[in-house]
Parts: sequence; structure tokens; C-alpha cells
Amino acid sequence: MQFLNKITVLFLLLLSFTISQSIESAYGLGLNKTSLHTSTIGSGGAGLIPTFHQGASIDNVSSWPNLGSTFISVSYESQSSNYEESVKSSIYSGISGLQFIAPFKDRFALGISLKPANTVNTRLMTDTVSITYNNAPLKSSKFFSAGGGIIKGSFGISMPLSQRFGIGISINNYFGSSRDEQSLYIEPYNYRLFNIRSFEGLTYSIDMSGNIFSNQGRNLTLFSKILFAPKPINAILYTFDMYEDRNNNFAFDAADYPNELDVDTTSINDIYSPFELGLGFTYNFNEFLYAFSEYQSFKDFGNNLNLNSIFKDKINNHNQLSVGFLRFGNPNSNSWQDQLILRFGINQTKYQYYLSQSYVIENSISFGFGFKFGLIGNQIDLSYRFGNREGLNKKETIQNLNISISIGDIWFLKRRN
Amino acid sequence: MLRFFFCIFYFLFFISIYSCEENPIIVENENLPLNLDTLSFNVTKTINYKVEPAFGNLDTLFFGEYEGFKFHYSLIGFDTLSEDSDHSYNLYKDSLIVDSAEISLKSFSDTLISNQKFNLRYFPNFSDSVFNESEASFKNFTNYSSSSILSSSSMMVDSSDTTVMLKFVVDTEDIEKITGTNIDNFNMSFIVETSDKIEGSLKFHSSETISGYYPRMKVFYKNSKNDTINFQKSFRSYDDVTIIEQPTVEQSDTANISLGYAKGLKSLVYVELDDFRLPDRGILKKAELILNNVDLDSSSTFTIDSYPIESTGDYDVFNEYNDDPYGVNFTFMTTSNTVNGEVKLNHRSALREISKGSRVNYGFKVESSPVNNLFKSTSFHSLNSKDLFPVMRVIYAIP
Repeated sequence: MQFLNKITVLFLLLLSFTISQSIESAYGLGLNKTSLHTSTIGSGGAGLIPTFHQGASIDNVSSWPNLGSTFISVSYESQSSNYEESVKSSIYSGISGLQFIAPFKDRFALGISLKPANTVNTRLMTDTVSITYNNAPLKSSKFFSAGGGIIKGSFGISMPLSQRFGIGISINNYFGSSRDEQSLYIEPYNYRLFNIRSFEGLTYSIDMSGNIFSNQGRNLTLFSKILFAPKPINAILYTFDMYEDRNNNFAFDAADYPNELDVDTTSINDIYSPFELGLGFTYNFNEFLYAFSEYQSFKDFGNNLNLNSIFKDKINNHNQLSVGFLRFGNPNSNSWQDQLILRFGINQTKYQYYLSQSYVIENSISFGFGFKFGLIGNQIDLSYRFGNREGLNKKETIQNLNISISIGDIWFLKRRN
Repeated sequence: MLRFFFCIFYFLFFISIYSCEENPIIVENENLPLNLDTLSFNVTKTINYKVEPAFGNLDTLFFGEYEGFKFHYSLIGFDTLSEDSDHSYNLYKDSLIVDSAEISLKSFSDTLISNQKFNLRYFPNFSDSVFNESEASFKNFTNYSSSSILSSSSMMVDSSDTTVMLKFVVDTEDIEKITGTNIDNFNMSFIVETSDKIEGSLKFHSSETISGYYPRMKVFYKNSKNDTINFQKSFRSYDDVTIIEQPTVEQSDTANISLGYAKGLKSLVYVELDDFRLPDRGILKKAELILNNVDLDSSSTFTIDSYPIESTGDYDVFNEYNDDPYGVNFTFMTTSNTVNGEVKLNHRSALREISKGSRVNYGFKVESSPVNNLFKSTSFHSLNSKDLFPVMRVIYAIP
């Protein structure tokens, strides 16, 4: 029974991977998401540098052996988005990642994770306008909503290269679907259509980490990541014709016009071919205080835009730079304040669009903390990020509040007597 | 600990469902999909034509005269299946003989005109298939002369329910005239007519009535001539139609788009669609054929039916037909009332098919609906009008 409960929860979690809506996510495949764990977001980084534990990042496979014990971690995100011209903010919350990591034999680890790779979550509407038809005014407005995206299911394994260098290799399976509904209101009815896309593909990623400089307890550690697709990710696009939703129930049924709805199924190749390069370093001033910087370059080499997304363009590449400080807690301290992990970082990400070549620049400041509880390093992480996006003649203020709960256990590690 | 872990998961999951407040973002209507477009298509040809009116599908049988229409007689055919259970009848029928019969019609009105005589005729030399209610008309029904008077009657009050009725009795002496080779075989087709001219018109329920007062024939049986009646069987009318003579065609009937049910006046309207193709995934909101009433007093409502026709129309001259030559597919029927002297007939289903190439545009038939006063006609402006000419206006949405 308890096993069934677990399965149910996992299934429901799979259904609820989300991020907040934004106009940017209405383009193409939506927004690419690289940092999902609360510890990463709290530092403002992209996941390469260790932010979860000393020497370990949940998002960097090569650092997993430093976790010390097996972890199951789940992240929850609440995001608020507000545009200058909007009266109200849009707030959305949901599970943003699920991960299992098991170190073994001291310097090895393996893990599986489920995270959104690209997400679409949009609710847009236009002002009501009036047109003249047959010498009479007719009110009209548009409404668009979209949700879903590509889920990345990863299996990673980490191993040592030498005494000071480690490597992590991941196979990432891309799957999932997105759906958008477009509605044109012409009084008194809504005229709706919807598109559904299902995705399938594979990428590989290699993470590396290595201590390149060490002197009197001060270390300079480098981290890198490369992610590539052996072949572009494909999609099947289902495009449904428009219908008159006569009973306004948002679904096509017998009460609607026409009687039958045609659907066109198209296989679309080369819609998404991600290539990601990341580089980061940490330098510790003492046993617990670290400075870090991280750079990530992402490019989508997919050149097929035939996705019927709301906006006929997509984010083609982005470059992200972040710097910050980390202060890890002292596990041996009796004071709970000393056990806290503190994170702070600033971040700039520059997105570029494929067709228009226009840019959207996102600046943000983040801070967060982690708190250990229990005997084997269970951890709760909290983070807050505040920033703005500017571009496409829009100015958007974003706020993230994230929480992760990581439950540890000792599975494959030898217990010391 | 594991229990705690799953409690947290459940907690997060339900928060994720219930804590959303997704207000739509207002965006400029620029570079967004979904657009609205309107079009006007010209009507390039119209023509009136005349057919024998379809009275077989009405719930009324008429007698007398009304506004120039002469109701000569009504043809009534009864079903060969009895309304009653035949079980007992079948047990005893070998020893039964037919005694008599009666045929009754129920009036729409409570007014009793007791001095009005009616005759019941039958067809001695014909089998049951004397007429077809959807085809029989004043022009093509020629069997009247071969019928003989079987019975006469006057209007009376039905003692069972106080309705006004006509009851024709076929007594023992005459019953053999309509009995066939055995007691299950009758002449089932009859004519009911007025014996002399009447002022105005009288209306009786036909087989299409929803009141249950359809014409009925009862046949009575007994065991011997001196016996009392042992069995009766009841037969409901199956086909019935009033044979009507229309007034002669006038100039006004051909001048405009003139429609009249009893007159059999209909029109064809051809809309030049210019090879219109609805864009992929698009939808028609309206494709309205708009006609404007000639009558300046537009306060009265008239209901118009319209269909796309299935074959090439003759738009050159006014024609008269016995049967309507323009077949229609009733799934494309549209009906609408005149409002302020204007009627809008939404033909979007037909235009959708035409625009996809799965239907040929031969034009549209326009006719008066049977829900109107059948004997009233109306006229709409044709192409000769400067401002109020017919037109098709289309509004559609495209991705």
C-alpha cells in the first residue's frame, strides 16, 4: 500500500512540473531552465559550483560523491511575475524538480532526476476591440493560454579521474508535451483552437570538477559542463481546427460548431538541439567561506520553427554570468546559526531570439540558506530571487521563492565503527 | 522519517494545485495569431419559380375556399395495420363477417356548422395505392372522376369528448363495396369533399397532427347477420392531402423574390463566391444571405427556409413545375425570421463545404416556411433594387 502511495505521489509530481508564466515562455518551446534546485537558485548560479553541500552541487554530477550520503530531494517553486503595464501580478507555484542521488564507494555516485528542460506557461489576453459587421458593432478580443513543456529525465554517474579531478556523465531523455489554446472571442461566442506537441529526444552531458590550486587550506576549484544532443529532438504536432464553443465549456463537444473537428498530425524534426557549455570556479577564503563565479553559454541549434506556438519565434541562445558568495555551516557547531548554509549571488542572463535577433536581458539578485536536520544531513533549503527582464518592449519584474527538502540516508557507504 | 517525507510531498503537491493565481497578461494585439475578417459576396442571379404546394406534410385537411385558394377535396389513405390487438380477432375471424364501418375526421374548430354536407367517395376499381401524399396535386391527380359516393355526413359533436367531427357510416348494405376477397381486405383510400360550395374554409386534423385526432376508420364484425357486433378494428390514416387549386400567377409573383407556401412560389438565389477558400483551420462565424422585404410595413414576422441546391438552377425564366426539381440536403437547411423587414439566412455550413471544394455552388433555394400563414406571400428586393439588393455577408476567424 505504501509503495502504491509512493507511485501515486511520483506520478502526480510528474504532472506538476511548472514555472511561472511569462511572455517569453510563449515563444517556441518556452523558457529554457538550467537551475532548478533551491540551493542553486539561492546562489544565482547555473548549478555547476557546489552550493548544496561543501563540495557538492545537486546539479553537477561530478560533485555528487561529495554528498556523503544518499539523498532524495524535491524542489518547490513559487514565482511572481509583474509587467509594468499590468495591474496585477501573476503568481504561480509548483514542483520544480525531483532527484535521487546515491554515492557509493567513497568517490562514485549515481543518480536519477526529473526536471523541466523547457517550460511554457502563459496566459495572455488583448483588450476588447469593436469591429463593424453588417452595419452593427461587434466586440472582439483574444485569449491565449499554454502549458507544459519538455521534461528531462536524467541518469548520471560520477567517478574519479584522479585524486583531485572527478567526472560525471549523464544521459538525458527528453519527453513530455505542451499544449496551447488560442481563443478569439467574437460576441457572443469564443472561437477556439488548440495545438498539442509531444517531444522525444536525447542529450548527453559531461560534468567535470577539479581542484587546481591549494595552499594553506585555500583552494581554487574549477567546474565545467558540456551538454550536447547527438541528434536534434523531434516533436509530433497535433493541430486542431477552430471550433465555435457554443456552450463555452473550453472543450469541443456535440453542442459546438462544426459537428466534426479536423486534426492534422505532423512530425517535426530538428525543433530543438541544445548545446550548453558551462564554466565556474570557487575559491575559499577559509574553511567555510567561498567566493564563486559561473558562466554558462546555451545555444539551440534546432532551426525548425514550425511549432504553431503563440509567437512565431523562439529563444535561440542565452549567456549567463553569475558571481556570489557562499558560507557553509559548521556541522560540528552546537549553535544552529553556525550550521546554516548562506548563499548570495547576482546574475545576468542575456536571451536572444532566433528570427528577430532581439535580446531580453534578465538581471537578478539571489540569496538563500540551507538548514540541516537529523543525524545524516537531511536538509531544507530556502531561496529568494528578485530580478527583472527587459526587452521586446516589455519590462517584467520577477520574484522567486523556492524551497527544497532533501532527505538523506546511508545506502551504499560503509559505516564507520 | 519516510512517513514524514511523504507527508511533505503530499503537502507540496496540494499547495501546487491550490496556490495558483494566474492573472492573464494584457498584451498588444500585434503579431498575435487569430484574426477576424469580413467579406461581402454579390448575389448575381435570382429567379422565382412555382411548384404545386406540398400540402401532404401538413397537419391540416382543408375544405372550402380561402383568399382565392380552392380546396377541392382531401384524399385519405388508411394504414393496413390495425391499431388494436389482433389476438382475439385472429382466433375467431374464420367465423366472422364484416358488418359495417365508419370513418371519422376531427375538426380544429369547436364551431358546429350542422347544415354543411360532406361526401365520402371510394375508388371501386383501384387497389390501395391510389395516391401519394407528397406527390398528389390538383394538376396530377386524375382519379377523382373514377370515384363513387359511398356515404354522406354532416358535422356533429362527438359525444365522447365534445369535439366537432365528421363521421361517415358505411352500413351493412354498402360495406361489401369496399370489402375485398376476404374480411381483412378493404379499399383503404377515400376522398372527402363538401357536397356543395361553402363560405370560407374548414380545417380538420390530418395524419400529421400531434393531437391524436387523426382520421380514423373503424370496421365492425359479427358472427352472423342477425348477431350483434362482436369485434371492431380501428385503422389510423397514413397518407392524406388536400387537393388545392391555386389562384393564377400575377405579375407581382415574378417581379421580386416572391415566396408563398400555398402558392408554391419559391426563389433561387445565386451568390458569386469567387472561388472563396476558407483558410486552413479557419472557421466561419456567419455566412448570411441577407434579403430585404419589399413591404414597408415590416412589423409582421415571416419565417424563411433556405437550402443550397444540389443541381444547376435555371435562372433565366420563370418556370412552373408539378414537382420541385431542386433537391436539397436537409442538413444544410437554415431558417430565419424577418426582423425589421430583413431576413438573414446563415449558410455557413454550406459555404464551409463549398470553400473546401466538397460541394458545388449551384445557388440557394429560398422558400416560405410552413409555420407561416400558408396562404400569405411575401416579397424581397431582387437585384433591381439600388440599396436593398440581396447580398451574402461573411465573417470568419483564421489562425
